[in-house]
Amino acid sequence: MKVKEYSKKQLTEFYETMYRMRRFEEEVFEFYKQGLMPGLAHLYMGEEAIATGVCAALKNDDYIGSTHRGHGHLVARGADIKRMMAEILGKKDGYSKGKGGSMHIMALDKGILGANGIVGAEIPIATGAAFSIKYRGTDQVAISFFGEAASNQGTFHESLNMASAWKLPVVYIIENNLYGISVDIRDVANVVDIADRASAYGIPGVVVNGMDVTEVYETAKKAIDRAREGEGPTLIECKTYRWQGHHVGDPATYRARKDVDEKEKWMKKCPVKCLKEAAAIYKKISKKEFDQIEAKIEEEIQEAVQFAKENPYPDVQESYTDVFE
Amino acid sequence: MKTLTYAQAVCEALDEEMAKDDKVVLLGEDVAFLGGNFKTSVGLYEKYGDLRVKDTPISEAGFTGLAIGMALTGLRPVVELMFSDFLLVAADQVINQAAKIRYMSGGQANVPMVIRTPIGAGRSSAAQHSQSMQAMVSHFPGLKVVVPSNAAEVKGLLKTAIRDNDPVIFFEHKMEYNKKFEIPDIVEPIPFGKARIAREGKDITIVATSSLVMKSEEAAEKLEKEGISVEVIDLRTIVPFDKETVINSVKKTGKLVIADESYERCGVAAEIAAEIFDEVFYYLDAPIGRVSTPNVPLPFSPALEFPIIPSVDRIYNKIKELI
Amino acid sequence: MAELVIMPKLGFNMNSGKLVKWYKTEGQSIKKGDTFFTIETDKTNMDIEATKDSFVRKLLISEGEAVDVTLPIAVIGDKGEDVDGLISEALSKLGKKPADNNNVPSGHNNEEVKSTDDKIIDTSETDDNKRVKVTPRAKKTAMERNMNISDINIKGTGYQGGICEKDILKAEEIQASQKVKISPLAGKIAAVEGINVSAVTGTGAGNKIMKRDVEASIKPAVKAPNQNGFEGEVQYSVDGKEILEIAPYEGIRQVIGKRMAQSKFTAPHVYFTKAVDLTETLKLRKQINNSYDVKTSVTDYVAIAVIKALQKYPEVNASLQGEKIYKYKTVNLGIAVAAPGGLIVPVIKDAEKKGIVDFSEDAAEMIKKARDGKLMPSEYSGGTFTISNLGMFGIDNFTAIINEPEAAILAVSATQKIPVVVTDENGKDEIAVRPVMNLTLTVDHRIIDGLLAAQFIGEIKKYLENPMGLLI
Repeated sequence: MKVKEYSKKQLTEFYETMYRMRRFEEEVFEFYKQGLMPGLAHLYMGEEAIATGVCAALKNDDYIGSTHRGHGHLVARGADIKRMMAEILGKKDGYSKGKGGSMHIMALDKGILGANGIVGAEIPIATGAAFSIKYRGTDQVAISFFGEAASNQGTFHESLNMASAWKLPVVYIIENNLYGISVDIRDVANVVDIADRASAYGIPGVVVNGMDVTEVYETAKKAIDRAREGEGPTLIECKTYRWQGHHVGDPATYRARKDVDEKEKWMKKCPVKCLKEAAAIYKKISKKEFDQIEAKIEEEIQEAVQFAKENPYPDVQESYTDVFE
Repeated sequence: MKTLTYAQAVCEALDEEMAKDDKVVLLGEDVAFLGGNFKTSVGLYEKYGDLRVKDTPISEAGFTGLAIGMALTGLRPVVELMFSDFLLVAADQVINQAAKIRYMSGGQANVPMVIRTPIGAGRSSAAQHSQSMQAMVSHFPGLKVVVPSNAAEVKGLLKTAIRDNDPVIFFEHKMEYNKKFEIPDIVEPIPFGKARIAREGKDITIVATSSLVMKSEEAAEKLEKEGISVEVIDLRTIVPFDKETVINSVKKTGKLVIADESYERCGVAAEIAAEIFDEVFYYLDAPIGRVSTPNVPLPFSPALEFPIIPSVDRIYNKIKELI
Repeated sequence: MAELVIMPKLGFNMNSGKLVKWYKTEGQSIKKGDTFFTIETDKTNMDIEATKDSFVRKLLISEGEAVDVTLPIAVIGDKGEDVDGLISEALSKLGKKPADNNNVPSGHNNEEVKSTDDKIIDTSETDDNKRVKVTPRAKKTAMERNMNISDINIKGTGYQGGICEKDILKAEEIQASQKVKISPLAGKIAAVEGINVSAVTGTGAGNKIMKRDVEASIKPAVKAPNQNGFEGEVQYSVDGKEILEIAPYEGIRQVIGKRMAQSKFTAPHVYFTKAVDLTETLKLRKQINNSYDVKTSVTDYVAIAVIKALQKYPEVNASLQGEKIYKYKTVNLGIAVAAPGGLIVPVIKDAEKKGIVDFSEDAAEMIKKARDGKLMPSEYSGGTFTISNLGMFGIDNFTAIINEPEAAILAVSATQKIPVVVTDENGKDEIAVRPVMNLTLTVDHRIIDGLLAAQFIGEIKKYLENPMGLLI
C-alpha cells in the first residue's frame, strides 16, 4: 500500500469514507437483525476500498451507475446517510420516499443514476450517460460499477462494444467478489481475469487489488483521465470479497467448498484495517486522530439511525405518485 | 394542405423537433445512412450529423439502455426499434428500467425518451416481425403508449411524444408508411389522453387504434349506406386513456366495438371493455364487441395471414352482429 | 312407439299453460282415459287424460312450470324403448339443457374466422332460451319510463333476439294510446314504492289514478316480531295490525280482479232496478216441472225473459270494441257461478234457439262443470250478456259489474213475499202478499242510454209477470 506518497488529508478522506461505509452497513445489518428493515439489503462490507478509491478520482458532476450492492457507492459520493437509512427502512424522507428501498436508492444530485435491481441493467444506462457527455461536449465521465457476474450479461458486452466503437467517456469497474449469489465465477467463466474480456472490444482491461484503496484510486484516476481526454473506455477489475452473504441473512455456506479458510484470508486483507495500519506505520494519522475521526463518524451514524427510526412511514397515497409527470 | 406519406409525416415530425431542440437525438438500427428501414428518417443524418442521428449495432437492449442513460443526463433520445417485436429484446430496459425510474427514485429522475416502433401484420413477415405489442407495454405502469392513426395524427402525436417528460412507446403502423395522406401544412402537437371523434354517429360506437381507425371509417361508410350510423373514436393514446370520451359515446349509442390489432387475449380491447364497463353497464344495449388479432402467432402465407388480420370486413361483420 | 305429449292449446287466446300437477311419475304405466296431468290456463284448471296406453318415460317440466302451448311436456313410450333422441329433441324445443350434454353437437362454424384458439364455443341456441334477454340499457330505459318489462308483450330484435332499447321505445309508443292516466304526484309515489300503476284502479276524474289510489295499493310491509317467543307465529302490519294470513294475489283471483277493475273503470256503469212480481212465473214453473219431470229454476225463467228482451233490443246484446259497436243476433248467455277457485261464467251458446226445458238442462250441466272446475275455455268465453243470481243467498238487491266486453249484466236478487198494492178488475186498490224479486240492470253508458235500459228491463218485467210469452 503506497500511503507514503499520499497527503494526510487524502488519507484521512479515504479512511473517513471507508469507515463510514463500514459502520453504515453494520447498522443496516443491525436493522435487519432487529426486524426493523422490510425486505433485504446487499451489504458492501469488505469492498469499501473500491467505491472509495474510484470516487476519490471523480469530480462532482460525474455520473455513476450503481448496483443492488450500492450503499458504498452512495456513501463514497457523499450522499446523505440519514436519507439513505430512512429509505432502507421504507420511510417518508428516504431518497425515494420509501418507494425504492435498499436496492434502488437514487441520488441524482450526487450523480448517482440509480442503484439497480437487475444485474447488468445499469451498464448501458451509464454508457448512455457517457454518450450524453460526448454529445454535449463536456469533460464529465461516467462510471459503471457492477459485479463479476454482471459481466456474463449481454448488456455488458453490448455496452463495452458501443462505448469502444464510439469512444465514450466511461470507466467500467468490476467489483469481483467471486460469487454471484452462491455461484463461484470460476465455475461459470473460463477466464482467470474478467478484465481480459476488454481485449474483445479493443479497450484496456486492468486488474487491481480491490482491497487496496490507493491502488484502486491510482488505476481509476488514469482511466478516468483517459476518458476525459476522449480516448474512450477502460475496464478495471477489482479483486475483492464480500464479508457477508449475498444479502443480509444469507449464511453463505457455499464459500467453504473450495477453501475452508477463504473468508479468514480475505478478512485479513480488510481494506479499512489495512489503511489504518499503513497510515499508522507511516505516521500519517495519529491514534488520537483516528479516534476523533471514528467518534465523529459514529455520531453521524447514530444520528442517521435515530432519524431513520423516527421518520414516519409515507402516506398510503404516496403509492400513486411519481408514475408519470 | 399537402399530400405526403405516413413515413414522410414521421420524418417531418422528427425533423421539426430536432430543429427546435438540440437535445433531441435519434438512434437505432439503420436510421442514419439508410434513413430508416421504413424511410422514416430520410435526410436527417445528412442534416444533423453523426452524433444526432446514430446508427447502432444490433444491440436492442444495449442501445435502449443507452437512451435511458442519455435521457437521465439531459437529452431527449428517440429510439427506433425496427419492429415492435424487438421490444422484447429490449424488454428489461423498457419495462424494468425506463418505466420505473421516476417511481423508484421517488420522483428525483425522469426519462424523457421515445421508442418508435412499427406494429402490424400484412407483409408476410411471419411470427417475429408482425406483432402489435401495444397491449404488452400498456400493462406496465410508467410507460405512455401512443397508437396514432393517419399521417397528420402521427405527426402531431410524435411531436408531443418527443416533448413529453416520460418514456413514450410510439407505435407506428408499418402498413401505413407508404400510403399517402392529406395533411395540414402546419401540424401542432396533439395532447395525450384526448381521443378524437373521427366520425360522429348514433347507433354504435367503435373505438379504434392505429390503422384500424381508417378501417373503421371505411366500415362506417359502408354501414351508413345501410342506415346504420357509426361513431368512430380514434383513441390516439392507450396510456393515458381517455375514458370520458369513450364512456360518453357509449352512453349515447349503447353499443361498443373495440378494434385493436394486438392479440385478443389480455388485449387492448379487453382492457378498454373492462375499464369502462362499470360506468356504462346500464347503458349497454348489446355486448361489447372486440376486433383483434386471434390468439395465434402470425402466419407467413398470405392465405393464412390475411384472414386473421383485423379488417374492414371483420369490423363490419362485428357491428352487424351487434346492431 | 315413443311420442311427445304437448301442452294442449285449449282456447283461441291460450298462449301458454301452467302444469299444476302430474298424476303419474316417470316409469309408471298409464292407461287411456287416466288423468295424466292438470294444467292451469288463464281462467281455469283442467285435467288432461291420457289418449293411449303407454309408459311415462320422461316428465320434461315440473309442477308449477309454465310453457307455451304445443311445446312438449312429457315423453311416453314403450318400456325399455330408446327415447334419448326424443328427449333431447324435446329439451331443445323447450330451450333446456340435457343433464348430460356431452352429445350435444357444437355450433362451431368452420367457415367463420374464430378470433380465439381456445375460446369455448357458445352455441347460444341451446342456451337458456326461457330467460327473457333484456339488455341493461333496455332495462334502464324501461325503468326510467316506469315500464314493467314483464308486462310488455314485445319481441326482442336486439343481439341474439334480446330486448334492446329500440324494442322498449316501440312498446312505449304502442302503450301510449292506452296509457294509464295518473297524477304526477301519484306517479312519483308509485315509482318510489315500486308499484305497477297499470294494476292500480283510478278513482279520479276520468279514472285518473290519484295519490290515494296508489297509497291504497301499497302492500303493508310484514314483520314478524318475536314477542311471544314463538318464532314467526304472529305477524303484524307496519301499523300494528295482527295479520291472519297473507295470500298471494295471483292466478284466477288475479284474473278476476283485473277483469273486474278493467270493466268497472273502463265502462261507465249505470244501474236500473225494477221489482218484479213473480206470482205468474212461479205458477208456470210449477206446472212445467210437474209436467216434464224437470227442475227448471227461477234463473232459467229470468234467462229466457232476458233472451227475449235481448232479441227485441239487440242494442243491449252488444259489445263496444275499439271504435265499433257490435250488435249480436245470437244470444250467448253467461251465468255467473261461484266456483271453488273463484267466480266463473259459463256461457250457454245460441241460447235464443233453446226452449225453457232445453235451456234449463244445458244451464244445469254447465253450472255443474263450472263448480267442478272442468269448463273448457270455449265454454266460458264468447258471451253476449250475463246474469248473476244471488237470490239463493237471500240478497235483497245488488249491482253487478259488467262482464267485458259485454254491454250489460243483470243482477238477480232473492224472491221474497212482500205486501204490495194490487189493483183488481174494478180498479180498486188492495194490499196483497206477493213473491217479488228485485232485478238490477247494469249497462255500459258508453253505448246504452237510460231510456233503452229502462225499456229493456221493463221488457223483462213484462215477460216475468206474463210468463206465457216465455213459451212462445
